[in-house]
Formats: sequence, structure tokens, C-alpha cells
Amino acid sequence: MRQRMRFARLGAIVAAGALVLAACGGSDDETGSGSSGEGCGGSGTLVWAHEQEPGDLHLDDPENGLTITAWIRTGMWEGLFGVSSKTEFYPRLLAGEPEVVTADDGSVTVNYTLREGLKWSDGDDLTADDVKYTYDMVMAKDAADEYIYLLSDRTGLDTITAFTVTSPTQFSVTWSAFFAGWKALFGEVHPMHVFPADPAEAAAAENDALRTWNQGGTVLPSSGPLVFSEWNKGVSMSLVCNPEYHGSTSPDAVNTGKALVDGVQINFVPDTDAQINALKSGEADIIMTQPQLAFEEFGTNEEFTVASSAGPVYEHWGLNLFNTHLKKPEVREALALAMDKGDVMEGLYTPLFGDSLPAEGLGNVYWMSNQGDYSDATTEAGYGQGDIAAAKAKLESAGYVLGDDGIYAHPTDGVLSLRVGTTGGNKLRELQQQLLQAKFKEAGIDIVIYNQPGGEYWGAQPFNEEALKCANSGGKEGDCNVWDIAQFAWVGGPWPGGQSGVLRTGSGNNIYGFANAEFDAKADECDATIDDAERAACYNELNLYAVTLQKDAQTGLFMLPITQKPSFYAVSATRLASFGVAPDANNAGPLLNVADFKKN
Amino acid sequence: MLTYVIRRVLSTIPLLIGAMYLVHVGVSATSDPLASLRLCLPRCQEGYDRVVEIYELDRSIWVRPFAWFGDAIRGDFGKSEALGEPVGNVLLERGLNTAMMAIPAFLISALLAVLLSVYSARRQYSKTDYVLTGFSFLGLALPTFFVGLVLQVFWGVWFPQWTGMKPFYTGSMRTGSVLELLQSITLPVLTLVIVSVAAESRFGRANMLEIISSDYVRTARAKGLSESRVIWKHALRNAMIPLVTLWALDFAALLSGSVITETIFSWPGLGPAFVIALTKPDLDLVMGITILAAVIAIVFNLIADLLYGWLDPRIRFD
Amino acid sequence: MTDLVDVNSREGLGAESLSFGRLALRRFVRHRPAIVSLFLLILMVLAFFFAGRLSNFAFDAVDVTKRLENPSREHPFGTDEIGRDLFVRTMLGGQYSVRVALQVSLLATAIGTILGAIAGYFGRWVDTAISQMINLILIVPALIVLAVFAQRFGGSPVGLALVLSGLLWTRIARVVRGVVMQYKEQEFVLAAKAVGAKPGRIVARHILPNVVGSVLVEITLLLGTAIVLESTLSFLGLGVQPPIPTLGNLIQQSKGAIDDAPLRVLLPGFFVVFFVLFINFLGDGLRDALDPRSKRQ
Repeated sequence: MRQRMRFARLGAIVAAGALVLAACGGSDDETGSGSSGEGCGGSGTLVWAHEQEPGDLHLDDPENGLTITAWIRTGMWEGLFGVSSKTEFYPRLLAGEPEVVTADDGSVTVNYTLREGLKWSDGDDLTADDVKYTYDMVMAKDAADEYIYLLSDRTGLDTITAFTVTSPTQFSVTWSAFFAGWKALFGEVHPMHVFPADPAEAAAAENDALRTWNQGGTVLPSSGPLVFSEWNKGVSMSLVCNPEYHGSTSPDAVNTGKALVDGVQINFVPDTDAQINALKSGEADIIMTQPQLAFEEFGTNEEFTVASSAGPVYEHWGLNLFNTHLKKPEVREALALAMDKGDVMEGLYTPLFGDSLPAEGLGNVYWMSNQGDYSDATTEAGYGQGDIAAAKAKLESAGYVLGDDGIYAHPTDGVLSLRVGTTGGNKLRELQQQLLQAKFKEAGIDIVIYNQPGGEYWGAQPFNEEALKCANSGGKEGDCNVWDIAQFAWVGGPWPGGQSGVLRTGSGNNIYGFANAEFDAKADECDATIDDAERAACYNELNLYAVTLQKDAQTGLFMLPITQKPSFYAVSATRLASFGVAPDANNAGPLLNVADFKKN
Repeated sequence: MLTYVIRRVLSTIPLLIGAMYLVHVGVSATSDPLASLRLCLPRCQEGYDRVVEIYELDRSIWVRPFAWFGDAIRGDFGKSEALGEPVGNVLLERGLNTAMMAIPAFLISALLAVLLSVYSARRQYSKTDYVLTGFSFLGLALPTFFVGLVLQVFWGVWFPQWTGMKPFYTGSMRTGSVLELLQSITLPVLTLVIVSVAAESRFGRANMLEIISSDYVRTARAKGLSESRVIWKHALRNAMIPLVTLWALDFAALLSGSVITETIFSWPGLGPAFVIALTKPDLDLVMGITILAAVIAIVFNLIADLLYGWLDPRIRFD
Repeated sequence: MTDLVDVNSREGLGAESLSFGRLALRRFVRHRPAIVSLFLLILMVLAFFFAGRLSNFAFDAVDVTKRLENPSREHPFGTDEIGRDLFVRTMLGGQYSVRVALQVSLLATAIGTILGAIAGYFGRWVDTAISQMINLILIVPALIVLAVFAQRFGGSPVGLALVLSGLLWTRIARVVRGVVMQYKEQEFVLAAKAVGAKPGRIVARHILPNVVGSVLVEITLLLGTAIVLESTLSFLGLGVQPPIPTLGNLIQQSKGAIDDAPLRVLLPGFFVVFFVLFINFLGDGLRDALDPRSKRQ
């Protein structure tokens, strides 16, 4: 089961990322056929074998937190901004970067212009009214019942004071104050013309229509390269080429015209080995699955091409600041010093993913390594390089004494033995855990693996009620010994400001127990910074609280980022003439750049 | 006999209710429907609250099953959130897919088991007996997932490489035509046959051996009946009596879905649905599949007992 | 859930056992496959417990520069994805698997025998209660029981053994219950009752010896079942959690390599197959030896 933790679920594009692949050769000669405007498809159906099947296509159903739902919808509905392989925003439906105007009262107005000639797949024009409709419908959701509540989470929308459509392609939006995540809004624009005019009725209608992608007996029209066609539950889903598609503006796109495949058929293959066998036996053209041994072999086999990319999901070890040992900054620093990220990268990631990830691992919990504003704060501080001697010195400075069994012990707090838990059954995570465990042993730190299967882990360990009580009360209430170290992933994105949410004092998911008023103030200040470069630098400062002791010598350094979770896909080199970048992130996936796929 | 059936059915009802209650409590106690929502708090507080409401997470797990019972009595088995359909529809569609695989798998393995046990029993301790016994042990010793994956690699990758032909589909259910159906159903059925024929034929062999050395078979032989008549008519019939129970239980198990075989061959039967339901957890679906499996188990047990009595005239249901 | 339940579960329903002793022993010794199997089993178990010590590597010592190596002198079974020695891991895995299997078969036999004997001897509501318990386990899909219990307790070898025994005791209970019911009305039992022997003593001294044969066969079958089941569970992520190796999770972890590096799967698979093979031949030998009507002289 794919473990993907949604940290910022904006109901809109969260992120995407992929390094343009060296392996992509041969795709340059494909552009000709698409951009002219008449042809659609023509090279057969792309078959994608995938493990998850969504229950429905209603992304905001709390039961449907599946990445696959977002991945499927990305190919059908476009939004104002898209996310590139560098996990940066690019104008998708917009003609260019909009103009941001600040008023004296602190309100901010953005003037947007849509691309010319946008059309829905049923031939209707896609206009500024569709964007306004999307906004009105989401804001009217209270009138609808059932699970529409998450439909584009209203964060950032609720501070809009004016939404004016000035022409079919122009509109402006005014916020009462600057909202740093504004580009993440309207990640999907909904088709106004097929839904009722009244926003509340529209919300109710969408609530039903989105489940089966069908309104009043007709398939919902698309603005993306693909149109929904058929869903054979439990077996497969078919999407077909959109003849009205206006072309991709992604910096990763090679083909800026319509899709070159007739359509995409997604076969639901729950077992990962069965997916690999499907690719090998020709029953699938592309698979995007959990990395495993067989992928390495694909890399050396001429019949297959393996591609990888750095996504916005990152693995880390989170430390419980109220653990007897971990409350000492020296112990946390010793862990950071002894952790050997290079070893993890060399052993687990580089062989599988080549150099799509930095060899020294990840050193930032705000910006990811493939983003322009990334800086590696941990390496600068000397962390994550397996510095056993320095780690031992730190432990000894805190009064720890090396025992006969090679493990440090504290005269009053006992043996330095820490449990690290994660979701069992995720092979890469388990291997990573075992690899780190072995290295920590050299530094005299005993790491006990304490995993629980899949869904049970969260509620049992880091998000256990008693544990959260402990974290939120500064260690005064609840049970502070539920967990010591938690290994899991958060999702970053093109707008990393949301990351502060988990670090703020007493926020619902600040599991670490970090409470620092200065940090909270700084986080507010960052989010209010209008200038992109200044804001980026500000986030890098916030990162120092979480991963070093520079800003907070007592309670800083409670996250040990390890690496970005790379995505991984393999395609048949014999059956595909070219393939596109397929970032592994919410609202990305293989269908984002489906226009670049062509069958032989 | 009718009274016997009615009495049996009535006596299982409290058991069934108890089982359903325990399953509901057990699954609620060990799963967390809020797992993914916990990480996006406070942003998705609304969704979190909604899930708490749907699953009555604010109530004690001992009380929660009652709502399900209340609806179930009225014939409403709820909606599967994970599969987006009413539980009744899911059970029907998936159940048919499972049956499509279970019935041929059962018939083939039962036939093979009879043939193998007769052969092995007639030639006990011969070389062929050792080889057949050895192979049936292999069926017992190999984990199902291993058998399935080896078949998949062999027919999907190796065989086409050697011969350029790909006779079977290895990874999806295709129902476009009879031929396609046969091509896609063969390997999963074969997997099920391999793992179930082992136990059945070994049991059959033991029974046959017992019967062959019994007095009345010796009498039949002494009367000068031909060996094949003795074996096929007299011995086999009696050896099958205990096998009927095993078959009934095996068939019941096959009909309630084969988690591993169906998962590996992407067959949309009850097995994978059950796994999805348990991991979510989708409690309505868990309860739906459980009650279906329980009813199948009860019915086939009853059928086994009735058949047993029918085959063995010494047993009477009074 | 046909592939999840105990594959042997309905076997032995018809098997009967009567006398044993010298005659049985002689028959057993003459059962060549059983004797050979017993010898090889002992050899295999000894290897699991001691062969690992011949290697210079610890089961959890990682070396990422030596990942996925083919078998060599240094690493007779090669290395895994993080460079751990697979020979040591396979041997230790065998050790854990055998341990789990032994614990399961002994515990399940103990529970099954005790409950079966109680049900058979006392009859009435006690029998009804225990029989309903057996039926409960029959009608609740095994996957549910495993998902509920194995998820919580099955991560450690001992926990897994407990969960599997809880699932596998019913067959023995049924066999023992039947035998006890059959014998409790016999004259020698009635005589013992008449002289005032306590139920526990009657069952233990006069009745249970009659089921020893069947139970011995059951134990061997359970050993095989437990090893295969453990492996199947790791496919579902419910088995023993890493870094502890078992033959089951070693197969599970390398199952993707069937095509590319078959040896990686075949080596632990070889031990499972032969362990189950030998155990079953042993059980066959026991059954034949303990059945007085067996054709073999």
C-alpha cells in the first residue's frame, strides 16, 4: 500500500516534481503531429497498470484520500497554475504570470489573464466565468450536504473580498491580506455550463457528479488532454484523447499539442510483482509502483526504460522532545551527527534512482532539493554524514557512559535505547530503518525497530491521543512514552509555507512537542512576505529551527530529514516511441504529461 | 429431515450474531479510519469530524455494532466507501467473479484428487506413488503467492520468450469473448487447483488405503469380482464419504474468495475487496463479506452433513 | 479464503488410531521415507541452529557496498539489498520458522486436546459451548482473525505463534472430542468411574492414550501448515516484522526476483519445501505405523 501523507491538502495542485530524464531520448521528433490542432491520438492506447483503484472520483471524499484519484483528474481538469518537475508553479490555464497589486489598506489584488482559445472537450469555451463559478460553488458548499465539505478546502478562499470578471479571459481577485499560497488556489477549474446556475445547487450536483464523473447522463467535459470514457469497476478505467485540447504549457512538455495516444487504459493490478510481470509480459506499457529489486534489473534491460524523479514527499525521523533521552539537545545532536544519510542514499536510492537525488540526502524540510530555493542546512551543520566520533563526544558531554555492550547509558536516565516506528510493510522504509539502525549501533545508540502495520501505526504511535496530549501540553499531560522516534513522510510542495502548520505551538499535528513563540511569529512574518525571493529565504530560516540547534539551542533540531521520496516508473522501450515526465506527487502522475507518450 | 435442517439453521443464528458482533468490535479496535486525516489536521478538521460521525468513533466500540445490526435486519447492508457502491452490489458483482473461478477450480481439483488417490492407493509404496505423494506435498509446501507468481512469470515472460507465443493473460480479468475469458481464467484456476488438490488427494489416498484393507473389500475380492470393479464401485464409493466433508468446506472457502490468488491475478473477486475493506477500514464492506462467508460456510457444512447421511445409510437425521 | 486456511485442516477426519508400541515402532522403522525424512529433518534443524555460526557475518550487519551479490565463498547465499549476508539470514530465518512452527503445533495441540477432551467427556452444555467456539472459528473468515490479531500481536515470532495456535487448534479438538466420546462409555472407563477415579485421571490415563497416534500425526501436519502459513501471512504484511528473518519473509521479500535472480527466492524456498516434505513423510510414516490395519507388513 502506498503511504502518502497529505500534509497540505489544498484540494488543488499540491505539487509535482521530476528531473527531466536523460533517458527521454527520442522524444524530440514527436512534436509535429499534435500542435497543428486537427489530429487526436492515432498511436494506440497506453496501458498503465496501477495498484490502487479509487472508490469514486470525488477527490474530497474523506474515504478517498487516494493519490490515484488526483492523478486521474490531473489528465482531465486543468487549473490556473500547474506544477513542474522542479516542483515550481507554471501558468497552466493562464496566459502568463499575473500581476500582483498591493493596496494601502494591506489588501492584495491579483489580475489574471486566461490563455486565448481555451475550450472544454464538448466544444464550449472555457472562460473567466468558469473560474468564478468554481469559487462561488466552493464557497456555497455549506448548502450542500454529505461529503462536499472538503471540496477545495477554503483556506485562502475565505479571505477573498472581491472576485470580478472583466472579460471572458480576464478577472481579478482581491484578498484582505496577502495569502502566500495564492498560486495553489484553483488547481482545478470546473465546467460551469453543465451544472446548475445556483452555487448551492451546483455544489450539491457536483457532489454526485464527481463520484462517477457524470452529470445528467453525460460524461463531464475535460479541459485537460484526456476525457473520461468508461470504468469497469475492479478491472480498468478508460480515458480517451480530448480532440479540443489546447495543449500543455508545462516547461517539461515536449509535445505542446493534443495527446498522441488514442487514450489511456488504467488496469487495476493490486500486487506490485504482478505489475512488474504485466510490464514484462506486454500487458502494460507503463507501471509506477513502489521501488523494488526488479526495477534495478529493468535498468539494465534494453526492452525497458526506468525513469525516476524527485517528488515533494520527504522521509524523516521525527523526535519526541519529551522523551527522557531526546529532551537533551546533545542526544538529538548526536543522532543527527551519527545518522549516515550518504549510506542510505548509496545503498537504497542511488542504485534505484541514479542521481535524481543529492548523494548527501535531504537537508531541508521546507524546500526540496530539486527546487530553486533549496539549501542543505544539515550538511552545513555537519549532520547526516555518519560522524561517529563527534556523536560519541556529544553523548559523553551529556554525561553518557559507554557500557560493556557498546551502548551508551546515562547514570540516571538509563540505557540509550530508542524505539523507531514506521508503517510496517513498506519495504523501502523498513530497509532504510534497518540500515540506519546498524549505523547508530556503531555510535553506541541502540535503535529498536517498533513498527505497526499500515493504518494502525498513526493512531497507535505519533498521533495517539495520549501522545498528542503530551506534545500539546509541554509534557505535563498525557503519555509521553508512547513513541520515541517516528519515521514517516510529509508532503512539501511549490508553496512550502503550509509546512509551518505542523511546527507551530499546539497545532493539531505538531507531534514533536515543539513550542517556540519566536518561531510562530517568524512563520507568520514569512507567510506575509509578498516578494517571492524574500519569502523563500524566510522559509529557509524557519527550517533552521527544525533541523539544527542554531535558532533554538534547547528545543530545536527535532526533525532529521533523510531524503525526498523519489518516484519511479518503468515503461516498455519496445512498445513506446516516447514518454513524458511522470512526477510522483498529488495531482501529477503519468497523466500530467500524457501528451508526450506515443506508442509504436 | 426437514426438521433437522430447520433446527440446524436456527441453532446457527445466535452463533452468527455473536460472530458478527465480535468481528465488528475486533476490526474497530485494531484499525483507524482517521489514519490519513490525522496528518492534515487542523486543515481537514471538517473531514475528520465527518469521519468520526460516519463511524460513530466518539462512541464505545462495544456499542458501535448495534447500528449495523439495526440496518442489516432491515436488509440495508450499507455502502462500501472504498468501492463507492452499496455493499449488496459489491457482494453480487464480486461474488459472481469469484464463483467464475471457484467452480472450475473446485471441479478440476476434486476430479484430480479422486484419480490421484485411487492410483496412489492401488500402488502404495510404488515409485509412482512416491512421486505423486511428493508432488502433492509440494502443493502443500509452497505458499500460494509463490505458485501464482511462478505461473505468472512462466506463462507471461518465459514461455513467450522461448516460443514467441503467449497463450494466457497473466494479469487481468477479460470477459470480451469466451476465448479471452478462458485465456485469463486459466492461470488463477490452475493456482487454486495446485494448492487444493494436494490436501484432497492425500486425504483421499489415506481413506482409500483404509477401505482397501477393510473386510468387505476383501470379501468382494474373494467373491471373484474384478479388481477395477472392486476399486471403482465398492472401495471408491465408501472412500468418498469422508471426502465429501472436505470438499464441502473447500468449496465454501473457494466461494468466499481467494485473497492471494485473486490479488496476484488482479481478479476482481471477493478476496481483494476484503483486503481493501480491511485496510481502509471499510466496516460495512467488512461486515458484508464476513456475513456472506459465514453463511456460505454454514450452508456448505449443512450440505456436507446431509450428503454424508445420504451416502452413508447408517446415519439418520431424526 | 481457501488459500489462507490451514491446508491440512480437514485431513485426518477419517484416520483412526489404535494400539501402538513395539509393533508400531517396528513398522515405523521399516517405513523408509519416514526414517530418511526424520534423519534429514534433524540435520536441517541442526544446520539452522549451528551453521550460521560458521559465517563471519552477523544477521543484521549491513554493508551497502556489497549489495545484491551473487553467491560467493564469502557469502554462500549472496547478499540482500542492503548487503546483509543471506546465508546467515536464511539459517536464522529457518531457526525462527522452526521455532514458530514448533510453538504453534505444541500449543494448538495442547489447547485442542484439553478442550476436545473436556467437551467429549462432560458433554451437555460444556460440549455445546466448546463446539460453538469451534464453529465460530469455522465461520469467521481466517483473514479477519489474522487481520485483527496478527496485526496487533503477530509482529514478533512468539506473538505470531500464539495467534496461529488460536486459529489452528480446532481440528485436534474435533478429533480428540470424537475419540473421548467413543471411549467414555466403554467398560474399562465405566469401571474406573465406579471405583471413584476423578475425571481428569480417567481421561489422562484411560482415554487419551488412545488418541496419541492421531495427535502425533496432527502435530506433524501442523508443523508444515504453520511454516507455510507464516510465509503466506508475510505476503499480506501480517507476518514477523523485520529485521527478524523467517523463511517466510525471506521468500516474500525476494519474490519479485523470480525472473531475474531466482536463486534468491529458491534458497529459502528450498528449505520450506523440504521441511514440509520431510515432515509430511514423517507424518505418513507415523500414520501407517500407528494404523494396525495398514497393508504393509
